[in-house]
Amino acid sequence: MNDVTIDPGEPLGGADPVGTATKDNDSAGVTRRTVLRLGAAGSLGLAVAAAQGPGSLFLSQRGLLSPSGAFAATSTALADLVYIEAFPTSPLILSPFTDVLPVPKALAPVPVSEFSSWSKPPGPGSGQQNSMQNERHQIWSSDIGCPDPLVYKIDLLVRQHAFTTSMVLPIDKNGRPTLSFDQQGHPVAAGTKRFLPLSTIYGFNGAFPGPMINAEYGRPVLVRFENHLDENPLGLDRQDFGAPDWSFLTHLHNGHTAPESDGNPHYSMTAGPKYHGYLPQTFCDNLYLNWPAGNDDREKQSFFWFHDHRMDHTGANVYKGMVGLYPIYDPKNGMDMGDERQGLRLPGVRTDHPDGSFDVDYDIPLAFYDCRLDDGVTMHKDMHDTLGEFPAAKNPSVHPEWWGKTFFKHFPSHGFVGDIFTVNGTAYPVLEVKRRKYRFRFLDCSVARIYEFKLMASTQGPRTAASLGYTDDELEGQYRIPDGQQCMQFTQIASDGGLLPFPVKRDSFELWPAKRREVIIDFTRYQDGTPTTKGDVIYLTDVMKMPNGRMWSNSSRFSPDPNYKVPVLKFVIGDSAPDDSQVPTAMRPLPPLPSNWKTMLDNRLIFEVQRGSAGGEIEWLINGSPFTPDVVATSLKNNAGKTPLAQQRKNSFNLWEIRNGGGGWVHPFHLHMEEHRTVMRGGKDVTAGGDKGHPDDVSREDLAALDPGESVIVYRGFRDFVGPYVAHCHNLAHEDHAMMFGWEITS
Amino acid sequence: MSTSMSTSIATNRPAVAGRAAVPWLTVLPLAVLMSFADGYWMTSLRGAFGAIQRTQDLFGSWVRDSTVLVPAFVLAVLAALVLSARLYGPVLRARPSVPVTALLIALAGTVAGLLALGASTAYDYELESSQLGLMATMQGRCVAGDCLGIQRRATLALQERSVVMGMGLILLTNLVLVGWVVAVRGGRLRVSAPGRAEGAARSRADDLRRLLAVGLVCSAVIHGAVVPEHLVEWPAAGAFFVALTGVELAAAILVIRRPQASTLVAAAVASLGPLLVWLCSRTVGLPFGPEPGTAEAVGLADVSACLLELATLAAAVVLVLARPGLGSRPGTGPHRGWIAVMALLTVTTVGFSGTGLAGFDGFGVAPAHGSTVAGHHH
Repeated sequence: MNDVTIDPGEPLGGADPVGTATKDNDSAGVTRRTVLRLGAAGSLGLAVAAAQGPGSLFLSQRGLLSPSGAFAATSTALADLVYIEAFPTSPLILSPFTDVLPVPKALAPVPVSEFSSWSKPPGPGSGQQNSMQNERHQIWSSDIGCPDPLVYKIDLLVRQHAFTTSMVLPIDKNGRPTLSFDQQGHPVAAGTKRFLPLSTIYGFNGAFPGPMINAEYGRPVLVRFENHLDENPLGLDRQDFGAPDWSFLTHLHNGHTAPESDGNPHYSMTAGPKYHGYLPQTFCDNLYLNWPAGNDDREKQSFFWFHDHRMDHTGANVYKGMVGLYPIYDPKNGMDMGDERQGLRLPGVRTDHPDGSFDVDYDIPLAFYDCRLDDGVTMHKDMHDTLGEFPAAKNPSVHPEWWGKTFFKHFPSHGFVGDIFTVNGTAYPVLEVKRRKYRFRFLDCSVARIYEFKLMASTQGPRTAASLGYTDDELEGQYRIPDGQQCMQFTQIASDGGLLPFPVKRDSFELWPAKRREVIIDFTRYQDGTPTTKGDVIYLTDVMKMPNGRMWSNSSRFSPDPNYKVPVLKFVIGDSAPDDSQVPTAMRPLPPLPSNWKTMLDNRLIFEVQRGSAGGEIEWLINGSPFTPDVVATSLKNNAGKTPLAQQRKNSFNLWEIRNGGGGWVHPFHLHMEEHRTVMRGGKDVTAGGDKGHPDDVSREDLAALDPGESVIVYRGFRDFVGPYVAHCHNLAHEDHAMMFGWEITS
Repeated sequence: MSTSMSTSIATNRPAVAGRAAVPWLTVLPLAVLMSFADGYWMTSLRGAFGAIQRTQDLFGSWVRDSTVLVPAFVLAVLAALVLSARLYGPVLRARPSVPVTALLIALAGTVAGLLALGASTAYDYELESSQLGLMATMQGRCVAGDCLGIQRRATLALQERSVVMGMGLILLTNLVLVGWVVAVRGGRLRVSAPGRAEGAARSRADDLRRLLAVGLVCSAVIHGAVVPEHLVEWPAAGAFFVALTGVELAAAILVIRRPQASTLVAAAVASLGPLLVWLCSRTVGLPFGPEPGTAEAVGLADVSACLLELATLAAAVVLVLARPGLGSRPGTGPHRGWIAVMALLTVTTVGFSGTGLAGFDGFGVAPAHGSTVAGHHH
């Protein structure tokens, strides 16, 4: 090549530099070269237009309109090609809204005479906190001037649960009748209507949801959780999910408790049981002091729930039934004591019982939980197969013998969402309400599903999604109300952190996993002022379409789908009833932010939730590390150039930043022990309520709702106790895949 | 090849004294486009299946990694053009010559992209495998026998699938891109450009000297990049790398300006010295320093520097031993000469990305709070 001589003035390298093609085409008016160039320019133009039009819309709807957003979207699409996750289609419930909504009654405490005769009675002494006798309560009730606690006993039991009494029709993903199977795994012909078999649960006192403890500030509660999961008196098939060693670890979400009563794996792996949880035939006494952080009334909350927190199997255990309710009232000055004639006069008629417990009418907790029932043909397969945790199941395998029972495998790529929506353990229930105001305490105890609720009226009533032509993911929820129209508003009075400073009227609200929202619904009139009449029907309706555990595809905030109206709970207006309640104008003031909080920004602690893969699966990490139970996490480098440990002095306050680094996912991020207040979201000061998508940012919360690519900076305290705690994603598939970190309070 | 090309051009064009030069206006756009397009897939695949430490700031990672890979794609395009010239001569006239050349370019770019993807995937697997080991120690229960082994095999299978997937995506992308570039150019493609007359005087010795000088500069770049890291770790090591960088740069200048035997010997020594130090530090450990007698980990930067030093050592030795003969032999031509230079630049940019400068998340560099250990150099 080095000896070549050429004419620099001559066009080089063309296939037809000045050749005949040009001349030929000239005669037709357009050269081949021109056609090619026009084609290239046109294709480029099309690509740019597609990127700026549908491409930008697609990314912005998923919060991915950022420099890395296109990569995240592509990564997600590529991952979907490999991580094939098959979900069963649950049988269609044929008679929805006929089962009555279970309204839990308060659990009765154990009489003193009874628990004092226990072989290991509860108490403040050394070794009295658990059955291993190696722990004591960090603060006993008398240390804070409170009476001895009411003692409750809750056993972890293997039992059964029915989600519906209705007959069902087995359907496939196209909504067509399909085969089902009997308990021996023999096929039953397509089109056969059946009753569901009962699902095996691990339940607090053997129920789902478990018991409800009505608590009060100033009146401590001690709950002895005792593990009897090794006992199986009914000889039930435990299937292939739930902690395989039958251990439990109960967390009162988000009680202000000492670590030994908090039920978190950072504690359990380093103290107490020194294990993932409490094994069968052991117990632990969780002491809930019902005492606000810093003894500050403004830190009082109003609705907790307790659930399992066993390391690596929290999602499985919660899904298997380990859920309990814990409304907490504030009797101080009668402010919120469940008596609508006193204090704030929130709806509620209280009945005190001689045993010290009490029930409150017109004050109803609603625990939302979605599930999938096995279709007998979907493969059971996840990373736990590699650990051999359920050898009898011989997974990967199909299990026709489990047809109609709850199906659960870890789905860390898509998360896990169900296609049957339940309230208080019952699918599509009905509640007859009086013509008056009610207080409802909403709780999302689902593994990953986020709901957005509206109150709707429908003339035609629910129709099956299958009959409307929907298939596959669109069948989730099973029913729709095509003609549904919003007819009432909610008056939100509380969020995770308790009563708001003032009530907020809302057309709809989102409910993320583990979050609580309390609302007042006035069943006497519609939002346009028209009075209700007996027999009127109102549907609590989910309008957030969430086809998988990653995030919603449609919601009011992001491209609403007017056709997605899934009725979840049916209210039927009944007779009028006396109503002494009022909607207050002011409730609980927020604890003040220090005026200099912005000066703390440089030294904040930063934690980024991230997504990667390991073991052939998606893994979720924080600051590049999996949850290491005996390690206190390290912050990313902050503006001060430091990487501090997640270690706070007792009674200190600080700013923590939580970043969502996993493109295309939402994360409900939960911080144990004290409520926080969001001060910045996406780099903007929201202390005055600047973010419309997250109106609760101005309240106290224990869970930061992180949209894709979003970051929040929260202000929080670390008061009263010392020791190890955790923070983690409350998408339980993420939590169980290491999306958690340990932190601690030092003395 | 030179004979056939001479014939071809002599028969088709008026003869002008000069050499067929590299058509940079063809080579560079194609290389840059393929590098960034293939880089997009590599980055996205990493986001889907890569180790967590390497899945952050995907956009920044894409820009950095794609830039680093540009010389590799230049090398690939040049190789394809040389092959095309061998097949069709320096001017593509016959009907299939342009599509075949475009195909060759796309294939060569795909090979470059796949090599990069393979290396990246292997590194991901190493990181993920370490992470699995860490997690296995925490979970502490495994009733299925070799759980860690099962999980590592699953991870490996996943990475293999990602490479296969990437292969298809990269090939398709390169075919579309090269086709689009050819279309933009009206269906034409250059494999050579008019050269300068004075170029005809270059000898094989000139080519080798240029290569030696470039290699020394490249080596100096990597050594200079690791100075800050070593200054922090051990100031004496930092001073060593400052001196080494200076010596290599001086040798490069002298090789071009005063190509005497003594200069070439000095260049050989400047190449051999750090090679011996590296060998010692990676096998038995240096007898002095912060950790005497401890072998250091092998990293991307030091391996790259060693490759460059081997190349410069070989060039210097050849020049010293065969100097008179080389001076009378004609040079290899601009295409091949640039291929050699681009090979050196590729090694340099890849090695530079392993030094931890400029936020590269590349091989052997520990990101903030990552679990990997930075590979130390020499």
